[in-house]
Amino acid sequence: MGTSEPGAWLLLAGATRLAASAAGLACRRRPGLARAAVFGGAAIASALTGGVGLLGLGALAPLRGRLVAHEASGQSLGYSVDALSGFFLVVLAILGIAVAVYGVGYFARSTPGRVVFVGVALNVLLGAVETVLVADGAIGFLLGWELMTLATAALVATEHEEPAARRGAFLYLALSHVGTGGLVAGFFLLAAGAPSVAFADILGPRAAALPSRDAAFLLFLAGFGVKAGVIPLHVWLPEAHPAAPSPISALMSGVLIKTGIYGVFRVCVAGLGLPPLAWGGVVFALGAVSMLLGVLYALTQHDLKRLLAYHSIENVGIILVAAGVGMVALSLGRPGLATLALGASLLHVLNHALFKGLLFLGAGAVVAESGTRNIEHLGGLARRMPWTAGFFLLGAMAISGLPFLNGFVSEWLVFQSLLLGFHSSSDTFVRVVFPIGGALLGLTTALAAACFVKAFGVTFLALPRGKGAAEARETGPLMLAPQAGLALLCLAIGLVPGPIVSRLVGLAGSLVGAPPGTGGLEASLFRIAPVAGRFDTLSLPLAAAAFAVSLGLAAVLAARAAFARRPAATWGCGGELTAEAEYTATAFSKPLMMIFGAIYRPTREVSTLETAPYYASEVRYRSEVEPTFERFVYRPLTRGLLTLAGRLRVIQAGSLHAYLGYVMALLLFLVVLLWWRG
Amino acid sequence: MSPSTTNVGALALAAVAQAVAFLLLAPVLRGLVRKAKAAFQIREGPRLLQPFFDLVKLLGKERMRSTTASWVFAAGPRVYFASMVAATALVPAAVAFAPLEAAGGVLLLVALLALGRFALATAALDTGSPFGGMGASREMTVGALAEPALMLALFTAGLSAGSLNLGELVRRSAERGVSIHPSAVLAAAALFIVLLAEGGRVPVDNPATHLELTMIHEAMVLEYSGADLALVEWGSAVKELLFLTLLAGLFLPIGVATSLAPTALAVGLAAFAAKVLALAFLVVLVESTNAKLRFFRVPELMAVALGLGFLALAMRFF
Amino acid sequence: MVQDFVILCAAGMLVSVLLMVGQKALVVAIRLYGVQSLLLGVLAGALGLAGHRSHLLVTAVLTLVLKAALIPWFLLRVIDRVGIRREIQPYLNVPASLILCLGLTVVGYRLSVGMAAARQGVPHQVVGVALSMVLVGLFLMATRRKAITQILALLTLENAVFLAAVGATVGMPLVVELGISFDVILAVLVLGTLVNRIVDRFESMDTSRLSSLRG
Repeated sequence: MGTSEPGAWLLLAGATRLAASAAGLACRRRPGLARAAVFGGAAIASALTGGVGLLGLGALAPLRGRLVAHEASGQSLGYSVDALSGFFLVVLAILGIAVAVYGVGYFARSTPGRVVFVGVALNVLLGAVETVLVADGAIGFLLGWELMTLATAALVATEHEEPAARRGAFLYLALSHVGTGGLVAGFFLLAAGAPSVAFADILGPRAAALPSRDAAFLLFLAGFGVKAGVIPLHVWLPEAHPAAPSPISALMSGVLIKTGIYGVFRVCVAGLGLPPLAWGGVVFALGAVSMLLGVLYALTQHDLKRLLAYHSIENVGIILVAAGVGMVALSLGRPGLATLALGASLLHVLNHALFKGLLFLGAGAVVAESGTRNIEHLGGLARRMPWTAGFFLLGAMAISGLPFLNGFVSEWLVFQSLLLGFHSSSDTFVRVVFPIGGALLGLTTALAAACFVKAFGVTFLALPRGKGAAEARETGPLMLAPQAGLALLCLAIGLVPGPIVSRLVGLAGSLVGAPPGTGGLEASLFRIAPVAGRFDTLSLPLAAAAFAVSLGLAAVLAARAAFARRPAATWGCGGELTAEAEYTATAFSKPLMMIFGAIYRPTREVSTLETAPYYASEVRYRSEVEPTFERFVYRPLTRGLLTLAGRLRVIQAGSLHAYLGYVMALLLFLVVLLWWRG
Repeated sequence: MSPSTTNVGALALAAVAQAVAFLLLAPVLRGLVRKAKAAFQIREGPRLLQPFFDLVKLLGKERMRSTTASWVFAAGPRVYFASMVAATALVPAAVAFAPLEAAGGVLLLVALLALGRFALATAALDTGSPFGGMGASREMTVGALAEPALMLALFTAGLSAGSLNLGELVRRSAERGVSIHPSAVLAAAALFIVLLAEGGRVPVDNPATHLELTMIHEAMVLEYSGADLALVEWGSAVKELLFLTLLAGLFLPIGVATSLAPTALAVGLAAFAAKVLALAFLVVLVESTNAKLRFFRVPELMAVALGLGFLALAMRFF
Repeated sequence: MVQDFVILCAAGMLVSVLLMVGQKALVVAIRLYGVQSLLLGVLAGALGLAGHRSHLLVTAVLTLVLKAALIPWFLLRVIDRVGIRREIQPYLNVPASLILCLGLTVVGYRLSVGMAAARQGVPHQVVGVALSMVLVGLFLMATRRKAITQILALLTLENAVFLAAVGATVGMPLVVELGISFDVILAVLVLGTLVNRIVDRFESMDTSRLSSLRG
C-alpha cells in the first residue's frame, strides 16, 4: 500500500469518522456520551483534514498519492491536494469543527435515535465532501459527489414528520440529480478517448483542444450551478436549507454550496484551457442575476432561515461575478487583473462560509429556544440572549459589507477588480458590463444591509412578540463557543486581511498559470492595494484606529453628562406600549417591496367580513410573492412533465406478460439490427 | 505634498486637526443654512451659532433610557458619530491631501457612511416604538437607492482622474484644472441629489418637522435625548459638511492648496470656504423653492440620481 | 472428437428447449429442464477436461448438482404442494409458437455465423445454440401463463447465457460463476415461495391475474 504523509492523515480522518459513528451507535442509550463521541469524532477528523488542507495550501506543488491500492487488479484510489483543494479543505474544516461542537449542545434537545442519525450522517457528509475535494479523477469525484448529495438529503429530512422537510429533501434530490447528470455528461465529453479518467489526463491542455469544449463548459456550469444555488437552478435552496437542523443548514450554506464553486474553479475556470470571452460573460451574468434576485427575495422573507438561505444565493452571485470578471480578464490577456478577481472570489468563499455559518448557528439558537422561525413572533431577545444577539449582530454587519469585518474586504476586492478592469481596458464588453456590475453590487450590498437591519432588529430588539420569544434563555457555552470563534475570525480577516488576501491571489495565479510576479495585488500586514499606480489602497488597521479614536471621543463627550440614564417607558401615545405597537417585519420591507414591485409581482387579496352593513368586523389582507422562476419556469415545466407522464402511462399495462413482451421485442430488435449490420 | 510621508505622528496630528475642524465648522454651517432659509422666508431666524448652543445644552441634559431597549440603543449614536468623524479624515478639504488617505478611498468612505446608517437604523428599532421602526425602514429604503447613486458619481470622478483614492483624485484634477465635461456635471448633479437624501433635506425629508408621516431621519432619532441626541445631531451635521466637501473637492478643484506654503494654504482655505458656502446656498435654494416629496416619490428621485450617475459614467468613456 | 461431443450436447439442449415449448404437463417440463442442465454440465466438464481448465470442472460439478438435481427436485415439490399439474392455454397456441420458435432459432443461429470462427477450440455453433435458447426462453416467458413455466424459462435463459460464456470465452471467472449460481438458487427459492403465495391469493398460478393488483 503506497501512501505518503497526507494520505495517511486522510485515511486516519476517515477511520476516525467510522470509529465515531460506531461509537455513537454503540452508546446510543447514553445520549450525552453518544453526542460527545459522534460529534467529537467529526470535529477531530475535520481538524485532521484541515491540517492536510493547510499543507496543500502552503505547498508549491500538488501533493499526490494513493490512498488505497489493490495490487492484484491494478485498481487504486488516489488523492491530489493542490492549493485550491487545500483552501477548500481548510474552509470545510473550520466550519466542520464549529458545527460539530455546536451540535453537541444543540442536539441535547433531540431524541437519542435522532442524535445518532444526525451524527453518523454528518460524518458521512463531511467524509464525502473531503473525497470530492481531494479526488484526483472523475470516478472518485463523482462517487464523493453522489454520497454528499445522499447524505445531505438524509440530513435535510431529519425531521421527516414535517412535510416541509420531506419536500425540501425531495426537491434537493431531484435537482441535484439533474445536476449530477450534467456533470456525468460533461465528464463523458472530456474523457472520450482519454487514457484514463484522472484529472491530470482529462483536464488541462487536452481539454482545451476538444471541439466540444463549449458544450462541456455549459454542462459543467449547469451541474455545478445546481449545487451552488445559482439562479435559475436554485429552487431547492430556499426549501432545503430551512428544513434541515440549524447546524446542518450552516454547513450546507457554508460548505456544500462551495463545492459547486470548487467545481467551477477546477473545471470551468482552470480546467478547460483559456476561456473565451463568452464564458466569462455567462458566468458574470449568472452571478449578477443571482446576486440581485437573491437579495430581493430575501427581503420578502419572514422565516429567519429562509431569509439566510436567499442571502446564500446572493453571496454565491457575488462569488460568480468575481469569477466572471477573472475569466473575462483571462480571455483579454490580463493575468494580473484575473488573479485579483479570482482571489476576491475565493476570499468571498471563505468569508461567506464564516459569516453565514455564524448567522445560521445564531439563528439555530434562537429557533431552538423560542420554538419558532417566524421573526414576526420574535423580539426582545437581545436582553434574554445577549451573547447570541451580539454574535448575530456581528454576522449581520459582516454580511452587509460593513467595514472592519471580513465581508467588506472581499467586496472591496470585487469592486477593485470591476473598476480596474473598466479603467484599464478598452474592450466594449468590459466598458459596458463592468459598471453595470458595480452598480448592481452596490445596490445589492445596500439592500442586504436593509434586510439585516430588519432581521436583527425585529428578531432581537424591543419587546417580544410571542410567547416563545418571551421565554427564551441564553444557550450553553457549547453552542456559544463556535459562534465566538467564527466571529473572531470575521473580525481578524476584517482587520488584518493582508496575509490571507495575498495567499489567495497567489493561489489564483498558480491556478490559471500566470507567470510569477504578475499578481494583481500587493499586500502587507497593514495594507492591500492593487498593483496599478496608486489606483486605490486600503489600510484597515489605520482606519480602525481612526474609528476607535472617534469612538473614544464620543464616549468622552457622552460621559460629560451629569446624570446617568433615567429609565422610562417608551412613549406610546399616552397608552402603554405593547408588542403589538411595534413595527413588524412586513411593514419594514414594504417600501422596498413596493419599489421593486415589477420584479416581485406580488398577489394581493383583501377581503372584509361584514357582520352588519357599514361595519366591517374583520379585514383580511393576504399578499404573496411567488418567485419569478418558480412561477414562469418551474411550474409550467413540472406541469408539462406530469401531463406527458400521464399520457405515457398507457404503456404500463400492469400485465406481467406485456412487460416481458417489451423485453422480448427489444431483444429481437437488437438482434435484427445486429444481423442487418452484418 | 507627498502622501507617502512616513511620519505617523504628523499624519495623526493632521487627522485630528481636520476632524476637529469639521466638528467645529459643521454646526456653523448648519446655523448658516438655517439663517439663509429664514431669509428666504422673510424672517429673522435663529442665531448663527445656535446649533452650538443646542449641542452644549444637550450634552449637559439628562438622558432617558427606554425600558424596552438594550445596549444597542446606546451604541447606535456612538457608532454613528464615530464613523462620521473617522470619515472626515478621508476627504481632502482645503489641501489636496487627506490625512488618512492611506487608509482608504471612495469605497471605504461609502462603507463608513453605511456603517453609520446601519447603526442608527438598528438602534431605532430597539425602543419598540413604531416611529423608530418606520424611520429605520424609510432610511434603509432611501439609503439602498442612494448608495449606488453615490458610488456611481464617485466612480465617475475617480475613473476620470485615474484613482479611487480621494487625495490622489483631487491632486490629479487640480493638476489638470477644471474641465467642464458634461459627465462631470451629471455626476455632480447625482451627488447633489444624494446629498439632499443623506442630509435629510427637502425634497427628500424635512429636518424641521416632527410629524410622523413626513419624516425619515427625525423619526429614527425620536427617542434620543441628552448626550445621545447631541452625538446624533453632530454626526448628521458632520455628514452634511462631508458631502459638501466631496462635491467641492471632486468637481470644483480650483484653488486647492497643493503645497504647504502659507499663501497656498490661505488660498486653499478661502477657496474651500467659498465653495462650501456656495454649495450650501444652492442647498438652501433647492430647499426653499421645492416642496417635500411624498415618500413613495422619493425612490423616483433616487432613480433619477442613479440614472444620472450611469449616464455620467457612460458619457465619460464612450 | 471433443468438438463433436460438445456440439451434440448443445444440440440436445436446444431440442429440450423446443420440446418445452410444446409441453403442457408441468412435470415433464421440469424434467426437460433437468435434462438440459445435465447436458450443460457434461458439456462444461468435457471442455474443462479437454482444455485442462480446472475452474470449468468446478462449474460443471456445480451445474450438475444444483441445476440438474436440486432445482428440479424443488420445483417438483412446489407443484406437489400446490396441486397444479397442467399449463393452461397460453397466449399463442402451440403450433404457432412452435413455428415462431423455429424462426427464432434460425435467427439466433444465423447471428452466430457472423462471429469469429472456432474460438478456444469451441465451434461457433455452440454460440448459435445459446443465442437461440435466449430468444426462445424469452418468448416462453412472455407467452406462458403459469408462474412455474415462467420460472423454467428464466432458468433456461440462465443456462443459455452460461453456454454462451463457455462457448465464446474462456468461461466466466470462477467468482462470477459462483455468484450467478447462488443468485439463481435464491431466485428459484424466492419464486417458489411466491408461487405459493400467488396460489393462495388467486387459487391459480395464472400470472395474468396479477394485473388485478395494479393500483
